[in-house]
Amino acid sequence: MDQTHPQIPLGELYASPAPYHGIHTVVDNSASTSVSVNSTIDYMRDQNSRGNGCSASTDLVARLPALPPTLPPVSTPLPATMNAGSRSALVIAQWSLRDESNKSLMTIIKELFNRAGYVVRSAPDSAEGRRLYDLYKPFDVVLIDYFVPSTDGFKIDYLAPQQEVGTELARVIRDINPSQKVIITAFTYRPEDDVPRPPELMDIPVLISTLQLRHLLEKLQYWATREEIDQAIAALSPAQWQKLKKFAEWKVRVLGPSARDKGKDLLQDALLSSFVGAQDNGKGRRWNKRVNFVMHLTGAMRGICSHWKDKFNKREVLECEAAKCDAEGQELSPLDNLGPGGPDDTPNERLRVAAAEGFQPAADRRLIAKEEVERIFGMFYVDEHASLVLQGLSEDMKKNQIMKKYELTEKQYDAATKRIRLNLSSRRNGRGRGDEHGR
Amino acid sequence: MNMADKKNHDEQLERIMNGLADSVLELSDEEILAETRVSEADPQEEAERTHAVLRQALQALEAVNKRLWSLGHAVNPKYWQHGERSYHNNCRDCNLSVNFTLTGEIWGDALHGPCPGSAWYTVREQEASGG
Repeated sequence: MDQTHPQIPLGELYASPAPYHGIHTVVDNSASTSVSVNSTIDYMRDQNSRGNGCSASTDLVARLPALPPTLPPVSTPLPATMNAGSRSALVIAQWSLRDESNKSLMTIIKELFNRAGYVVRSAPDSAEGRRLYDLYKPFDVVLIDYFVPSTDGFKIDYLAPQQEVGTELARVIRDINPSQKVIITAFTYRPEDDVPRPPELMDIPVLISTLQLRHLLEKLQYWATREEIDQAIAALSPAQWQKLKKFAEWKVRVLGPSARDKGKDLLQDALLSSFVGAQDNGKGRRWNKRVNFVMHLTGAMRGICSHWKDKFNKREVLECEAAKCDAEGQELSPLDNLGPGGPDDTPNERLRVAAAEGFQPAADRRLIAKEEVERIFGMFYVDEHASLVLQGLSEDMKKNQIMKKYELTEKQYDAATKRIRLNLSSRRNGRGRGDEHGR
Repeated sequence: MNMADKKNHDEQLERIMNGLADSVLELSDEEILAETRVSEADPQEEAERTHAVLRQALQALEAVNKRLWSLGHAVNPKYWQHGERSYHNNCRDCNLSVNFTLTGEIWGDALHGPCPGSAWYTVREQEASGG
């Protein structure tokens, strides 16, 4: 084994998102074999970042630094956990790059797919790619190089200076099959957000390093597309809708009485953020299909509500600012704050907007919280089990802990919780059921 | 009452409400529907109404994205901010603003014309005019 240049265990290489520079030997410890990979891609990227913008051209290899001696390539067996051939991939690319063992980038990509359990078909240009796609569609994933050549005068509708055949081909394939999972490779770019593409293709992940492929393939299997989110929404049962709605309504009550009507907003934001997450190159609040959709949305609502709560806490600082300074930072008397806010971004104006959004000043909110807690406990003071449940919840105890500590059966606990929910809901709805808490 | 006590009430309220929110998730379908009937309208109608409102939100998002794209603007989908009555974002090329409501209203400076920072729009415009 050559020890003169960095060696990275293959397992770590797959797991690590960090880019590697220079020449690497990659060691697959699990298979007791080794594969040499020249990170020419990083070199290309370096050239690009220095303003020597290079596409996948043949003269690139000539510009590569001298390569150190390497081990001959050997075929690496698939890990036992991989079920080769269970999935299909179409790779549409023409890369002239070769590693130090003269292995082409196409071969390396195919090997990475094979290791992940994919059977690969490949096409060297857009025409062959479209032919294969029509013949064998759909594929589990289609990987298209941004600079794939066009041999048949393939028309680019959005002919912009930075537009390439790859994105247009991706668009054509998505037009044929909107739920087709596509990856675009653009090895000369960094970061991936800089790869120009139309907004309608922004949900397509961009691969800028072979190191990311394995991780991306794993995620792609489980990330929901917009269409799948649509289908999941349509498939929600009335009971599931009610669970989501009620969950949202209770969550926003954390923010105080004035936020009670924000339950629908919370659910709406959770859905929108999931929808947006499906458009955002793998970032954001993406629905992992291994998670139940209702649980995904409740998780999203927890996150959003926590963010709203943070907004509340920031208001405390704003109150202090607003009490002391004007837009120019000049100290004000307390009476100055009674007037309308100044320019848009003054603390006063932000407080006004906050109030309009239903956010209360922190001091008010604390006072209201105190009154609310006392009112809730007061409503159930003759209901022993409900009082115990409330006491447990207020101490951050879970169901089992409450049942154990206060010696409640599950039936008693569930019945008490139900009474609390119904009474508090009724009070909120103004039906005056506050006195119906007897068991 | 000192500040610690006041803060404590804030946290107590939060824990109670979180506990009640979680308790809803443990209910069976029959239980949640029965509870809904006690306090609200027909669960089926209620579900349809909620679904319709939320679908409208997603359609509004789609519509605003299409409109922005037609003008060459590009927004970062992560940066939609929920404002007082609308969602707000800015074009990442020209920074002009755009807003939309869930009822489909769209407004903002970004909609007044093509994105000055977008090469895409310029080229397509030239193509359309035969330039």
